[in-house]
Amino acid sequence: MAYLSLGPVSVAVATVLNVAGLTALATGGVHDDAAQGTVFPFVWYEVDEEDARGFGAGGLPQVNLRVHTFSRYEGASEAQSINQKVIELLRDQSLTVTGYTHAGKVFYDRTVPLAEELINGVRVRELVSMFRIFVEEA
Amino acid sequence: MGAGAMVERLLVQQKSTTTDSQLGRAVAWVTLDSVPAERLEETGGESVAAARVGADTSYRFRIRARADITPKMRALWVPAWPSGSARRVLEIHAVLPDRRDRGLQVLACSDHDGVTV
Repeated sequence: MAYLSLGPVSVAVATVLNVAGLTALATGGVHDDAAQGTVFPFVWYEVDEEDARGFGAGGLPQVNLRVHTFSRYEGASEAQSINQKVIELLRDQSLTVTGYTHAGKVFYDRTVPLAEELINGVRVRELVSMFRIFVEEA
Repeated sequence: MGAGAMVERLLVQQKSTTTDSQLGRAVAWVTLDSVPAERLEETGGESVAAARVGADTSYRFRIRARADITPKMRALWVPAWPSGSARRVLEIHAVLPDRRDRGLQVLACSDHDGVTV
């Protein structure tokens, strides 16, 4: 029995997001840990898991996925374009998750702007899109 | 102060913006002037912002006083030493009077992650 699905789900999400269609917009790349010196705009994703009891012997965890877009453009349009691509790549998609069966599709919930940050006197915009993923232990 | 201490040169640039279709701004940088400068003290540090570690280096430069340089501007700078240094992009954070000489002023600047152009 696997006890945490975050690793395999992260691999599946990274595979879906790390494609030319997105990195052409987010020129700083897609990361689960943005390295020092990562250029803007870039995408960072994170996952957490809630345990949900499956109908059989295995679990059916719900994985919450948050995809963050960071942009230094002086307006919302750049971050919005990148986020739109993120949603296009993920929403209602089936993921290949090693050791699990993806139950249903990727559910898109919402996108929210977060408080702006200032880096070296330049404002940084952040948009976060939220998704839910259910996986069943194989 | 003689001109001898001003061995650095700052290319001061100001923003030119174009309003986009959703009222954001596309930025282009236009050169205001190239000014001689004396490099003063500097400090540095790292912090986490926007989910990433970044390094900021703060610089102060003494220049001849003028009224048209503001914190909205930036400066491009090739350090005179060491030779062969890359040109850095400096954000101008403050324009301060020089307490010792009314003919001079101090620019407080910094660069982030050693960004070069």
